Amino acid sequence: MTFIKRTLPLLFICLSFGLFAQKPVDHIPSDVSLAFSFHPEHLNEKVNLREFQQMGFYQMLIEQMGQMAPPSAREQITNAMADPQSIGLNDMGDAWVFSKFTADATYFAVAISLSNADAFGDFFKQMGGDNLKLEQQNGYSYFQPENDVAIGWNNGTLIIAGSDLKEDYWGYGIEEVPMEEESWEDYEMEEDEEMIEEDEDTLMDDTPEEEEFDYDAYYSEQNRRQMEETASWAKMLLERSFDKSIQSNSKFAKAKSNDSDFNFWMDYAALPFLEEGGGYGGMGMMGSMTSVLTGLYDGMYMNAGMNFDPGQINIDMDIFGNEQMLDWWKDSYKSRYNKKMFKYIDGSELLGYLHVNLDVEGLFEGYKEMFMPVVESFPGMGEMAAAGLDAIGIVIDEEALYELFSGDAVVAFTGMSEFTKTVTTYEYDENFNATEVEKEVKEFFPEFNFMAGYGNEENILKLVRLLEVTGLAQNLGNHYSISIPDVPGAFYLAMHDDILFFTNDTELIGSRLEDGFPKDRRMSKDQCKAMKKSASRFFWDIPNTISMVSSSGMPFGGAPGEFLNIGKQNFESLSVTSSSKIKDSASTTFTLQMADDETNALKQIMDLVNDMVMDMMGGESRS
Amino acid sequence: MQKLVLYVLLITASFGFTGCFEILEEVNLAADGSGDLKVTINLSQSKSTLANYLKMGEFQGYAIPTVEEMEHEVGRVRSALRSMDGMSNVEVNSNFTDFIFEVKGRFSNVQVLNEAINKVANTLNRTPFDILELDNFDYTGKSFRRYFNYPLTVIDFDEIPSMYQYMLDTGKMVSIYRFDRPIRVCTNDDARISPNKQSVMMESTIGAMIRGERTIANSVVLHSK
Repeated sequence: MTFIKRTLPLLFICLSFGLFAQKPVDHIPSDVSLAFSFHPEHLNEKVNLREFQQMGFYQMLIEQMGQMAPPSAREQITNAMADPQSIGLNDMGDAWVFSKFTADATYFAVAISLSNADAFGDFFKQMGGDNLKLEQQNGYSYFQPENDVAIGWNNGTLIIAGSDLKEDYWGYGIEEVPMEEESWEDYEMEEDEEMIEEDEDTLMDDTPEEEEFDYDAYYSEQNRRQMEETASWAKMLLERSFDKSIQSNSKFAKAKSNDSDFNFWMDYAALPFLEEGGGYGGMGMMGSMTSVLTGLYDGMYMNAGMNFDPGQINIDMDIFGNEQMLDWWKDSYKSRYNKKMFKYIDGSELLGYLHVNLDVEGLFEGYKEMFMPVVESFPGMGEMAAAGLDAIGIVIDEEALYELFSGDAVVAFTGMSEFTKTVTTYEYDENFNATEVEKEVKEFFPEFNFMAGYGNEENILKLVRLLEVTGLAQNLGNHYSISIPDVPGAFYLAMHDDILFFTNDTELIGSRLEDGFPKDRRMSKDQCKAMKKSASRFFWDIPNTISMVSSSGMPFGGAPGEFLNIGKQNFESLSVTSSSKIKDSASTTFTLQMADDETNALKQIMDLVNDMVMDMMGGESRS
Repeated sequence: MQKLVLYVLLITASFGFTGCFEILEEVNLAADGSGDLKVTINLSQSKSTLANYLKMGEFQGYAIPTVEEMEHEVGRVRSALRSMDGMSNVEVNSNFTDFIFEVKGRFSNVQVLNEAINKVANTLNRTPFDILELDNFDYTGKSFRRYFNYPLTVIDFDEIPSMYQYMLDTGKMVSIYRFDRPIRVCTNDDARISPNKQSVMMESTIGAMIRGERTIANSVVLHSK
């Protein structure tokens, strides 16, 4: 019984300790403007992070950084970097960097997970030495080495916080006195009051001397304020004396729904330069414009999550908009893609492409709706400008403009075109007598194909006719030749299948306009599907591009050549895809595809960096 | 003539054209120290790019001279050379279609040749600085010397943008010297002597010269006549 009486409270305390050890995210207030986080445990499930510590370049980095420390602390710092756990840092715990912007100051902080607060405290005291003024506050240790930086930690979290106050020269030393509103009409001139004409000398004599601005006092006051603000901010974070943590912020919770290795979240509306009528917005014209722009960004926030996966690095970005913005995106993206474009892209030597698929009318109507208020808000000129634009609308047939192009377009680079040109050079006989000769040399120019869907053929033909009449285009039957002076190669314009072509691909123009390229030369189904489902997509085939450039004859020797070789061997492609589906956010995905699609991408990159660095330094890749 | 070459290089480097260029320097030397000089600057491999630049009128903030302005400069060089004592049969030709430029003339002695080169460089000099006046050639009656004391190697080749590195590594400088007597020996290991032993040829890229890997400096010792 005695045993139970003694041990139960102890167990309870230990359990309580375990329950109430706060995580770093618990120390982040809900009203921060942005937050960046690293989740090593999530990443460690995919790749052994501790393995990187054994890499040669990492060991070398530690050694070099250790050398930068004072000799008395060198060994401790080197050991700490080699094994952060030894000084109480939780190397598998989350780390956060966050910031809050206000009209008066910028606040920022780093929150790192601790595994052993005592070990960290011991290390800190060793580094600080006898001059360290460490305070013990309500369950945490605290130290403020500078006016703008403070460090504190409790059992579970280390906080490094800082602030940066705005300069306030104009407000310094001036007591604000409320001004009474007075109209000049209320002013009554007293009977015996008359205008006194003073001569210049008198006026000069009466001018009071300007007081010199006391910069020392000003900066002393700024430093004091800085110190107080930093302390206040740091202690608020350590004590969690705010209403809610960021996890209760609905925008954050909604955006950060999936776990990722790294994450970045930002609330646009909380950024100071979008603050309505704020100092950044300015007064008068700029202020009113800023007010309108602020309205556009109201309710907008974004989240980007980065993941290192087998063979890929993915960044998924979502931008959450207000109703107006969402409606604009929805209207802009509700476009049908002309699938016939796929058959005209030669995928056999594809280097890359950029495609867009937008509803032109939705895009421009939304644009007008959003930005006309900005134009109108210009004081003095705004209304006139808006009226002018309305009047132009009488003359310009907007419907015809919207129908001119259907909004789907793609530019694809499909290889390198070879051209020959004649140059003069010299040949020498055995006695070095020179003879001028003409030789043919090869030149290379990227082969491209630009296609845009059109709606109204009649109007497009009017534009093409204009080119013909000006001599820029020459009619060759089912296509036109376009002359661009002194640019190598020939360029062509054609219209077929409701697509306007502009290209230098002679094969496409000469023999592929009817049926397109053979199926075995077209793009893969995955590529076609990705293009069809996206509002925009950028794709770059890295090894193909490097091979083409290398074979163009330009000698890439030395460092540039090696760099290209590394790129070709290790990377497969880069793509950026914006989804056309809009619910409450617009999504974009960045993907860097590695050549090895099985090994985790971070491991591949770390191995690559390690090999390159150790190759340069002549060391061993692994310890 | 090296200064003229450097001047051309500076102009063309600032234009940033792609493709090779070739500079051919030929000196025929008689026993009495008189001879003929011909320098050819061949930019035909970049003719389409150069033609474009001429039409643009400006490149990277620099005004590109018109054909008329460049012809005017060619005329000034021609006049400067023709006015020199000891220089005769001077011809300066320019071809702005293929971008091939040629300067040739007869000199009475090697010192006149050196002065002519300095005069051309001064004529073309548009900088506020004086041209470094050095002797390019020397002749003692028994040996012919080509100097190259221009501080090209102070240029850090690695600092040059890679496109210009490519241009300088593909730009070729060829020197051919012909004599009326056989050659006994040359000091430059990269020099080739013709089978009839009366001509010597050296080739180098400009890039190799900047890096200090090659030089066109050479002493040619001749047999007595």
